[in-house]
Amino acid sequence: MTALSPPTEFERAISAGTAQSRHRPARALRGAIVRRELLLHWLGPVCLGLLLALIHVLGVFANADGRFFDAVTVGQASGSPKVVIVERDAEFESLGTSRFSMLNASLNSIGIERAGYLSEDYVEASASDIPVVVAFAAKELPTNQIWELSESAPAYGSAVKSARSLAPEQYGINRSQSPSLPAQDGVLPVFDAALADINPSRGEYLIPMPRRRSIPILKASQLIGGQIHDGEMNGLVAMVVEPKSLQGSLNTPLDPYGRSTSEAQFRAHSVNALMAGTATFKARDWEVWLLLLALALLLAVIFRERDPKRLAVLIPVSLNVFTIAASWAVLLFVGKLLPVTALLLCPWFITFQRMIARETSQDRRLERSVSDAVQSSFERSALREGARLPQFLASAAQYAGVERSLLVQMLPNGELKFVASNNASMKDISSASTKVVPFLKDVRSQRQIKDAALLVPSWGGETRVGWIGAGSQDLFWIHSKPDTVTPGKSAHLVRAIASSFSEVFNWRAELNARDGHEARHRPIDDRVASAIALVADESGQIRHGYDAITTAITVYHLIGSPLHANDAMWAIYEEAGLNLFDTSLAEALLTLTDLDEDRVTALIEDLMLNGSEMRMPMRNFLDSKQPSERLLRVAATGGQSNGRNRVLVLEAIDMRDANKAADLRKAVAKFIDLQLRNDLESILLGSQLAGDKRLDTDQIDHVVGQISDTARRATGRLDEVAGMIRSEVSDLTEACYPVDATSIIKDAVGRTSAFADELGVVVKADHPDVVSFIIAEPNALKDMLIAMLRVIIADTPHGGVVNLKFEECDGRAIIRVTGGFGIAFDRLLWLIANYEEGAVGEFRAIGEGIKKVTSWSASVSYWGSGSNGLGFNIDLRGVG
Amino acid sequence: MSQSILIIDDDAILAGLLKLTLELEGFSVTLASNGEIGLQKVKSEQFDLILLDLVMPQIDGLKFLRLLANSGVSRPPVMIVSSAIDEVLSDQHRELGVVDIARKPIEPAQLVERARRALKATHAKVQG
Repeated sequence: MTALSPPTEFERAISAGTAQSRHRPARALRGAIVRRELLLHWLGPVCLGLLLALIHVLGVFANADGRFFDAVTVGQASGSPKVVIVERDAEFESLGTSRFSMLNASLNSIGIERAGYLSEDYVEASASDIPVVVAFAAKELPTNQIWELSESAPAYGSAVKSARSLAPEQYGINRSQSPSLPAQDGVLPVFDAALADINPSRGEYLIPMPRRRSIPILKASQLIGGQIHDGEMNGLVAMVVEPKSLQGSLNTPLDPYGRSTSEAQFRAHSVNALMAGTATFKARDWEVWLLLLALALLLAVIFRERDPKRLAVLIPVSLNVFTIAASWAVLLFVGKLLPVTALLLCPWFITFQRMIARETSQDRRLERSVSDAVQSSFERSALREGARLPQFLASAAQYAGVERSLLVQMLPNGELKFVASNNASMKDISSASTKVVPFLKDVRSQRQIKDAALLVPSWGGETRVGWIGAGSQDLFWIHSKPDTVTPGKSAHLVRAIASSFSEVFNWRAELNARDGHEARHRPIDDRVASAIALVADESGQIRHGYDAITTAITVYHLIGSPLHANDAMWAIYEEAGLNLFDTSLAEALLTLTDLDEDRVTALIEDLMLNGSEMRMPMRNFLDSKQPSERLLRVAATGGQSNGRNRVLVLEAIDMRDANKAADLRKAVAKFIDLQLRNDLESILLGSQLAGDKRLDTDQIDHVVGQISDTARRATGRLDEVAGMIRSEVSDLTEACYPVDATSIIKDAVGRTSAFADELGVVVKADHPDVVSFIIAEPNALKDMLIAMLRVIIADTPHGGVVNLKFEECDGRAIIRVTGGFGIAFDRLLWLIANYEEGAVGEFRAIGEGIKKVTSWSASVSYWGSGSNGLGFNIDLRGVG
Repeated sequence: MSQSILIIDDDAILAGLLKLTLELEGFSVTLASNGEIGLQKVKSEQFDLILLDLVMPQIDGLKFLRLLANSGVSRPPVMIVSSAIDEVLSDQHRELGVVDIARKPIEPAQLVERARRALKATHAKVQG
């Protein structure tokens, strides 16, 4: 036997994971996990929402938002233009310095409300008839980031000065404009805002530029020439531009890549938007933060109730559609551009985050459940002590006839490390050969068991080496070939041991890796699969173990439904006509015992409340007149504090062995009682006579001799039974001992009387009325006698007689059973000799009995003929 | 003339010692080692009392009593001396001619006394 030594470093490493898991305060940890998950559930979406808001504020989404703005506004319906462009044509320019006054007068006459000159050369020779705005170039002072106008042409009279500036293009596209610029004395109005006459304090605005809008362009000379009727352009403003301002130079939403929009057209759209109130403003930063926060919280609420995996597409798409529709409506009707891109991305980001979080959480829970399941399953298992597994391997191999074995681990650097051994040591491994490591690598890669002569040449004989793995470890098992009388079986057993060990070890290693670095790279599914395999494997082994127990057991769930029953209990249920699957504990007790419903209910209630156990006799289903040889035990496991794991166990205990032992002791006691009373009587008489003075010396010597003989006889009887009295029950159950033949015969006859009555057969028994001791195992003798009686009764015609006679002669006792119509001897011989091949139960009992009686110094003979009946003789040793 | 007693017991030692004890007390004693021999003795000789053991091979004590009852010969009173019985005399025993039951082991003096008592009672019954 291999002695269990302290665990090696390798073994400690293997068992480490389990130990850590065992000592975790599971409930506290579970609470912490729940709190953390709750926090992450809200915190994750909020953070993501705020992150998107920040990105938006930083302008990362400006281009995308602008594209949305373009898509909506370029295609929208166009209202009547509020502005008309007036081109300063060559004829106009030839009119001299008074041309501006003449133009103003003409503009006034056709109903123009205000005129804007997009050039610094405006000269007001006389007071203008209409308000005039003049655009001057503006320059930014680098020191304090304020703007000022360059007033190179100061003859502008009463005209309003404005800055001829354009807002910076966004990703190459001009679609916005600022109404003002910061100036020394406040703000400097930009030309567009001044011409539209709006409050220049408002922020930068976006300019809707519907493709269908047509801005009228007139020539200044035409106006002066009176070609436009008076009042024809009432309420409009005029933008007077030089021809070069009408040349395409800007990328705008109308033609993003063509630079086909002129400055005049762009500003005309800008003025039009300001005057028509269609200028669009971007959402303010705080509005962006609020919107995205609200959306994030909405998603968090949705995913608190719903599984994000199932709604991974539906929710984001729905919200995106809603976002686009709402943004479109807000843009058109409120004149505000929402952070569309951020709003569109937000549902996807948060859905993804929730999915990841949920997956992670599920993995964590799954892993913990698996870990708990494994720990729970192996709590009482040797497998729990992973450190001892290698030693179990060595021991198991020894039982299979493996004389020497060595379990070694190969380190990454090729060094071999001792793990466990049986009758071997690391010194046995050939250190001189450089082929050892390559050879072991071959063994591992080929997954084959190979001849190990190269590794352990000193062992001699046939040796084997195989890779049995251990997670990421390299374990090699070197062992001698099994040397037993059944080499085939042994070799098979060794392979099974190695394979089983390898599986168990790898599973353990896989499960224990959960806390290590490797676990992060190993999918949870693999570990779950390992756990399930491990638990299922042991469950199967436990189930087979249960089936090997002769005591019948059913385990019931606390609610009373069956969980598991072993083969023995299946047989009892079948005997009782019950179906295990749909029979509750209460129903089983009602069927298997004589208890009524009220008592069964009270019994189960008491067990469930107070635990403990109860015992009751079980019904005899085969012969209701006879007492059952089984006792039912119902027990509840676990204390009240652990009600969830409590199960109810129904156990049918076979009392035959116990009864046999009791019978034996009773028989021995009876034997001693009867026989010793005779001896004591003799001794009493003898001692009295020995002191009687009426006897002569010879008579006294004779009496004393008789006393001595009686004492020796009594001592012999005591010695005969002393060994039996001291024996264990298991030794006694098949032992033979002095038993009362009369009671056995009476019992056997009684048990066959119903059968005989049924067939109209009379059983005539001739046996002593008082005790008559023989040496036998009473149950075996009784079973055999009953079987003999049943065989002959069954063969006897109606009204016939079966005779049973007990005879004593010369220390022998013979039980003769005769009768029947007759069975040919050959047939009878075959039936008794071949009972293992399907003979009926009675012949089986007779056959088995014949085998047993030889150990009692007894014998059985039988005879039969085709029409002259049949008979059995049991020749037994008498005693007493 | 001394009173005659038939002892039916398969235990030869015990039967011999009983015989000697009773002979010392003046009884004439005959031995039979089982019920069958005892029955033959009863048919062939006159006895005043039978001391009968119950547990015997072939024909045991109870069977002997039944056979004796059915034999038609005059039945001497029977005193059962056995270890396989309680000292309770039932009607069934009386019908079979049993007058006393002594459970082994019994003090020799008491045995002799009970044998005398049984003989006396039987004698009185016959005279009466």
